[in-house]
Amino acid sequence: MTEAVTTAGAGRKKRLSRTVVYGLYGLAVGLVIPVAGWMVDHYFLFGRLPAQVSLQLLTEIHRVTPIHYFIDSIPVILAVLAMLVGRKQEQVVYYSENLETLVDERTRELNEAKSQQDQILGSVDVGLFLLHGDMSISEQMSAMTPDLVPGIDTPDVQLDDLLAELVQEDRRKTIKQFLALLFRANLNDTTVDNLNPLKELVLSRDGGERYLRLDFYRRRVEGEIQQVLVTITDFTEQVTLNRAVEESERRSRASSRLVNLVLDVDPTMMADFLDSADEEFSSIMSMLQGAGNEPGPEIIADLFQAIHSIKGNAGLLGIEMIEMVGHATEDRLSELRGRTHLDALDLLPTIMGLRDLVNSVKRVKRIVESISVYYETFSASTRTNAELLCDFLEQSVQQVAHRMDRSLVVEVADGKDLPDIPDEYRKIIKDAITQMVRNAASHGIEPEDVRAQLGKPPEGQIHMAFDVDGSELAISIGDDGSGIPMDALRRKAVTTGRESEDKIASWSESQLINLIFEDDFSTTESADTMSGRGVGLGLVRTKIQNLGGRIDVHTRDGVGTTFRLVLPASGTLTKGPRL
Amino acid sequence: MPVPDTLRVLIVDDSDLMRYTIEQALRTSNLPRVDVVATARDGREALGAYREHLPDIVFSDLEMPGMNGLDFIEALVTEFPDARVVVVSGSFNESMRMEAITRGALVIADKKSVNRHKLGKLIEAIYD
Repeated sequence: MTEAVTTAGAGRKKRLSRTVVYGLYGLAVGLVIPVAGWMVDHYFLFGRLPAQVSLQLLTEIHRVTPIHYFIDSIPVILAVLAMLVGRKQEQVVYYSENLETLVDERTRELNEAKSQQDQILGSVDVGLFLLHGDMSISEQMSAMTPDLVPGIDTPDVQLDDLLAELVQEDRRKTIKQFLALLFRANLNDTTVDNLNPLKELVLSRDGGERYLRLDFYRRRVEGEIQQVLVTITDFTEQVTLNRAVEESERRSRASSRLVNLVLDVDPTMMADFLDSADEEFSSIMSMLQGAGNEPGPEIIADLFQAIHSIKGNAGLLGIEMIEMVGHATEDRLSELRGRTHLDALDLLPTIMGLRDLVNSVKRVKRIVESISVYYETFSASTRTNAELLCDFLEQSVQQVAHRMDRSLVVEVADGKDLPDIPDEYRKIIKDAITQMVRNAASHGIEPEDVRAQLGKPPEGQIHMAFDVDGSELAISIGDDGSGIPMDALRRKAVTTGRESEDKIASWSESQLINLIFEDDFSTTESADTMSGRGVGLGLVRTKIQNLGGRIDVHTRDGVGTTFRLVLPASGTLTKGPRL
Repeated sequence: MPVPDTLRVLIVDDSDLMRYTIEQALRTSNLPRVDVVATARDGREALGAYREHLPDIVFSDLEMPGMNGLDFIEALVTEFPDARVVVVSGSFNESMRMEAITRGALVIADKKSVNRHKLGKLIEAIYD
């Protein structure tokens, strides 16, 4: 407060003025006494004497009775006293004013702190409150607290009673004991923390389980513990996540065991096993279908035989998983043995068991397939680019045939004597193959009935050939379809507003064919899933041109279309791209 | 309160080996001087030894024949509220540990981890 007094300039100014005013008042009042005395003396005692004598007498009186000196100095004394009073009063006023400001400031600070505290308590996503030695809970707590522990915001609630209601009976005593230990000052924090039984508190809520963790921070004041800050965190998500991770680890361990197992089995034996299992399954299916609503006892024997055979073979190969499932299915089936009357429902448990058995055989099959794909991919790396491209063509054609429900066959010319193809061409040739196979299937090759009428074989032919002519490498990809329809190209060119009808009539075939490389030009109206995707013929041609090559198109009405990709034989690494 | 220059210790355990282990761990720890003033094999014996020697610190097992550790701690703290008891036990569950501390022990140490570093730190923590 002293600091506030000495530094406040405005207050000092006010105090000086009040001191002066009080001084002047004092002086004025003080002057009244000697002046009045002199006037009384002058008029009533020495009134008739000349002024000079009167003054002499005055001097004489002062000499005889010196108290007059004192009376004369009364104005000065009063002025000084009044000044002191003024000054004092000024100080009092100043202090009281300052006090108000200080109180205001302090109140504002406190309010700020309070609102900050409220803000913190409202926004933290943990439970937060103070616990007192009598187990009562501070009124102030974070907004999250009652969400985590319902009922904690009830007035006068005791934490030990509240928690006791939430846990199993056998834990209640431990928790109560622990909460009491929190306030024992001679125990150190580590000891207390080690004993904390509330690091994992499982609450059943909303049909699920919530995992809470309570931590306790003991606040010592002069060695004693009066309050404990309690935080509550919800780590349910973490627990759920951990469980999911464990589950997936468990599964992948099971899978890897199965993979090891499959790798240990002789491949031919595995293939035999899978084939015979398939056979048994299909015979089981026909048995069940034939059985109808009243299966006879003979079907039980047959089913048993089939399942037993699968189980036995699996056991032979050491595939325990299948063996176990087979065994369980056998058990279900044997319950039906010896019964004279059966209905379809009796077989239900067996059918469920069979489904498990089929699924476990499928799992083994999937693993075998993944392993072989893996193996093929790696062993394929020793193959030449031309061989890889032939495989790729084969795959693409199969894929397209499957998706578009077309019968297509592949024919690769010069299969024995394939040229070297530079690595950097591989990608673009693959793109070209994809595009051209799609084109052939969606535009070129006619539907089966049309082909039959034309005397063509029912399967559409897709052929690929490589040839090297001096410095040029050519890859021809073609079909035996209807050829590029020139009339349709003309019509399209007119309807898309590219050219006038008169002008287009004079265009050569090669000019018309050029249109198919334009990105937005397609003779099929509906871009179905197959022909609509891919990089597009235009882009393929641009890339080929960038590599210093070209695409020639040969088409004959009703006979087929062949695209011939011509590229520099030595690759771009020696020649450099022609842009 | 600092650790006294000479720490006077009472060790209570029915196993000779354990008493020896604790004593060796204390002697080789970084504490200035350790004086094992008495040892006892059960609670009753230990109570007598405490009254006689008034040691600075007691190391006690929980499971002992006769008067067990929990009863010993309770009796000791009732008679000497300032007694410092460290429980050294091999088999205890959560409620047993809680019970020991509730009855007046200050710290619980695992029998398997009794070594000079651990006991030294533990005692420093008690006197901190």
